[in-house]
Amino acid sequence: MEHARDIELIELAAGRLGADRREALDGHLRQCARCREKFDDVRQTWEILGAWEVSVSERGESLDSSAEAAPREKDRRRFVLRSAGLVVALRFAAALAVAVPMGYWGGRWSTRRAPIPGPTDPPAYISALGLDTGESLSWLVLQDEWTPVEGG
Amino acid sequence: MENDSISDAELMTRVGRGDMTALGFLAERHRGRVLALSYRLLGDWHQAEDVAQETFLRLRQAAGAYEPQSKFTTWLYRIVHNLSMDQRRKAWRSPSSLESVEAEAVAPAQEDPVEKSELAKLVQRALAELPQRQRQAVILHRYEGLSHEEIADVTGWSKSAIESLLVRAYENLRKNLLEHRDFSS
Repeated sequence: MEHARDIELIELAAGRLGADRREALDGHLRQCARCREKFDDVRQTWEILGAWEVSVSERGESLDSSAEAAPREKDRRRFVLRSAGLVVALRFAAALAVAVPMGYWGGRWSTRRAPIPGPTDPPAYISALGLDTGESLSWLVLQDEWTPVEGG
Repeated sequence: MENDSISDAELMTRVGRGDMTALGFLAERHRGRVLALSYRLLGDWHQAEDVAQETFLRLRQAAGAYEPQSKFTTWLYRIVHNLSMDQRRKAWRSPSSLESVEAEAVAPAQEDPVEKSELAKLVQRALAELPQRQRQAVILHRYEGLSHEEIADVTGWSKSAIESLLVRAYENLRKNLLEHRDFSS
């Protein structure tokens, strides 16, 4: 005995088989317990699937409360995620707004302080060499050791 | 109503000539099924709304070149299917959406005392657990009433692939749903 193909049992449950094929299958199902049992399962599955109705009556909203609830929850999560991102960005901007002027004015304040004057007299080795202490010889002097007299 | 007697193909021809009233008639006639299919494929009303709007935009753009070779609804379903899959890919790429898509797929339901609603949630969950192509095939077959040839037209898959997908999908659904036989009685 040739058993019914699975896809034909599905189409039979869907009511989409041609009359000839449907009659042939009905005849087979009356004789074959295995195919009949299979068909009963397929038909029951088909019917259960019908429980999920989607209605788009008003602006596409579902009549199924669970289906409506899911997008709302999703929106809420998206909003929370976006808000969290916004808060981080705002905090960063606020930190920059405080740090940049503080750094700028701190720098200005520190450079305004009077410079530490170097010794007014030339170092001993310059005098020992009998050299003039003008600015032209400043390259001989070790850094920070002496500040040449301007115009000298 | 006068527009009820005008065929989809005729309306499309008018849209191709720039008749926006005809586009309105088409949208009014098919918006529900476009939205329902997209929602079933995506599981998200907002994304489904986006897809519906984009579908009618595409329809307007393509109207000039439209030739009624296949059934209008099959052609329309192809647009909806492709846009929904694009939307799904976008959603999976976005980390925030990924979280919610997974959450909806695993647990789409909230508390509801009505038994039918419980069963609907069970069905939704069982469908969400199917591999993507099986789910698409079942949605087009069971809920949109498309034949194997029409599903092939919409998805671009071969007829034999569709039959195989449908058999496996209904078998997976049977295993999943009939464990809860008490719901169906």
